[in-house]
Amino acid sequence: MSKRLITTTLFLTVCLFLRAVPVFHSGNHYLELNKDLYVSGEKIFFMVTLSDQDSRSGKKIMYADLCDESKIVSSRILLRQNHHWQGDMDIPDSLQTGVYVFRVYSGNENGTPEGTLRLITVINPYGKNENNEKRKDMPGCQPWDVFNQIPSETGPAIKVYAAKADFRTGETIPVTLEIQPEATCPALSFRVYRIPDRENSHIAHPMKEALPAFSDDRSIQIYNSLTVSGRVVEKSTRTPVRGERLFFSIPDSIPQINVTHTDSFGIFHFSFGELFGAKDVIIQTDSKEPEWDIEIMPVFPDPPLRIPYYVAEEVEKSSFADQSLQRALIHRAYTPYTPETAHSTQQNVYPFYGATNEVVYPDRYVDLNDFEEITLELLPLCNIHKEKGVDRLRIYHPETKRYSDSPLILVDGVPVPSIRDLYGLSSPKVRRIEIQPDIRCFGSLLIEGALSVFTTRGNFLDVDLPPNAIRYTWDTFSLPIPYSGNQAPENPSHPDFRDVLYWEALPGPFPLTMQINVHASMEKGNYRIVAGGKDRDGRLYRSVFNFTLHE
Amino acid sequence: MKKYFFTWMLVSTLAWAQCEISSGTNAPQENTRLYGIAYIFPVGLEGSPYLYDDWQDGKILLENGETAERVPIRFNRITNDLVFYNKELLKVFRADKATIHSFDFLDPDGKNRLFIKYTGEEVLYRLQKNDLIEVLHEGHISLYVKHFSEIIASNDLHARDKIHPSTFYFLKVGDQTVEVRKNIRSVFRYFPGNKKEIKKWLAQNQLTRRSEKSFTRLVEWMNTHPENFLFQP
Repeated sequence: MSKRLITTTLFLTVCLFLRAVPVFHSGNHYLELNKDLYVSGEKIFFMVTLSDQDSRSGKKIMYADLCDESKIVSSRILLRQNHHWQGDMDIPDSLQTGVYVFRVYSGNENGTPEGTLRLITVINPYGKNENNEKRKDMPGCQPWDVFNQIPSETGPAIKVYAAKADFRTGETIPVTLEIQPEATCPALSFRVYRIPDRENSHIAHPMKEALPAFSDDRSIQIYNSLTVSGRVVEKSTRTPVRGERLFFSIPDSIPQINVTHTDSFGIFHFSFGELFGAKDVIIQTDSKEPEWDIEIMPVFPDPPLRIPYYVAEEVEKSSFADQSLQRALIHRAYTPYTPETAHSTQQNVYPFYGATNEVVYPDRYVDLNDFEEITLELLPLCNIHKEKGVDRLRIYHPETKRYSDSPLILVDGVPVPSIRDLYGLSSPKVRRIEIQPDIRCFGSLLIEGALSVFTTRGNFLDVDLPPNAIRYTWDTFSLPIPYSGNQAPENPSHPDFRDVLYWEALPGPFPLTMQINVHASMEKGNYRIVAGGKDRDGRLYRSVFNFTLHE
Repeated sequence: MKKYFFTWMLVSTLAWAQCEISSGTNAPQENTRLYGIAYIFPVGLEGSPYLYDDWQDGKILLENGETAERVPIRFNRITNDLVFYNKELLKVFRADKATIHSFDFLDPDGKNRLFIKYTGEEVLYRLQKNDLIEVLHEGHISLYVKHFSEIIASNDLHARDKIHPSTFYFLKVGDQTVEVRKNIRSVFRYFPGNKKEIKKWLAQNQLTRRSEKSFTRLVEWMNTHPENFLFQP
């Protein structure tokens, strides 16, 4: 009996551990960055392909993040385009000199994160390097020599070359890329970047056992769609709330709503198609009593607990790093500041409660002090019924000649539980009011009439957040910004000190021979051309060509 | 008995583990959300206002690109409305036409009937923008049919109003749409240069001149060599 018990216990343990931990060396992902050494404040441009994406048909999401020890510094969610993922990521200005982990990953068939990582060397232009100095004294830490990470050639299937190995600064360099039919990569990375004049070799390559250490985080689930997951629990007892309806809204002039329910563990999911940029999100439960907490689950796995590397003194104090700092400062001085704008390719044109002709613009009338007055004077189909201290909105349907007693009340597209929440809105605060008298459905949501108020500011800040609701900023898909460094600056008076002469993700299929014209900058020195990718079976193809720019 | 218990326990644990693993990478989500308006059933009429008397399974493609599969639907010929049954709300709604792109009646025999929302130029009062019409053939020359029913008021005080069904056929070539009768002869008017050719083809294929099937086959054939047929509206 005891043997059987042991066997069962063992089996249960194995079953529990079948929920695998995140894997960041799966071998299926191919990651390429635009360069090796970055300066705080610069952008990392990167591309990712997935080797077995044919077998994982429909895989469309890729996550990317830049991590310090126990901290995610920056992150991106990318949408697949032309069989690959391409993105850019800001390195914060304040990031200290150090070695960081850049991860890209997607969810495998179990939803477990699987991807690859790369160590990134960042130099802070203002000399902030306290953490890096501390790591030098920590046992087990070793120097990371970015200059010695030389990409290897893989064979004749892919070949990149120029006509000669010496060119003049400012010259156009025709680069030939030959790709044999067996190199069936979904996309190839192509980069031409500056390398140190003399490559060091005295610093050891990283040992396998010294890879960044990750926590045993089994809870994270990565879905193949843009998903917000969370849990509803009772505030006092922390017990999960089952079967509760939740609304997801983003303040907008054309209201959209998503509805879901919690499962037996109090867990809920909202899934979306294509949303771009940072979104101001409000999630609320349908019931407003008793008090509940809504907890949002993280979408990024835990950052590494330890990164056992530091930037070697030789790298940090090298003339190459110094030039990189100066170049970054020059680039910043000559580049106008452009705030990041939210991209959107999808336009919602239809409110979820349907189009209506009953639209009122309060600014066309005399100013009224509160919404009760607005309802009384400007909204003939609406009236506020007051009984035993409860104010209730009713909407009259002129065709059916009936009142709807429980219409949906929205402010900037966000449902609010009571008409009382709107009383603070005076005429100047209200831009538009729509009244939908019809009884309608939107999926499983029954709408027994709707009063939709759009504030002048349009951001749901003029009314209080409803009870049992949370509001937060949600980063959705990032559209890659086009890389502008492949050409010399348009203004001839601006200095051209580009260290990356060319960076592009080339989507397949490829011709046997391609010619790419690379415009050399005014910065003399040694440069390297690298073209590479992985095919669908995970085979790596890469070709390297070095050349020199001189005056 | 203990053996069975242990076997059952192991099997159920394995099943649980598999469920955990295969929970998949697609988050559970609500099905495609249809926009509907509360439907008022027509009453006091003699005859059926619907294309099919019974509910049929349908596939609805929305303007936002989403598709709702296996929705119980009906087509109201009087109001030209798609009516659907909302299984979650247990209520019947008429689909908001602004959100509908097209829909299919899913025939168990595989003969699906495709309806689209007409967006071309209007043909008098017979074919208006946003009318839901059946596509008999889509191509360079398209053949559409609009199913319509009108209510004929009863003269008798105790009798109910009658529903009179009718169908209107339309040919669309490029941006131009014209009404045709369910008679091959009416096609000659718009393709006067191909009269002999069409007659010959009808004779060869032994098709009648007044059936919908013949009409559809004719348009199919015309679309095989559209360059030979000059449309003269």
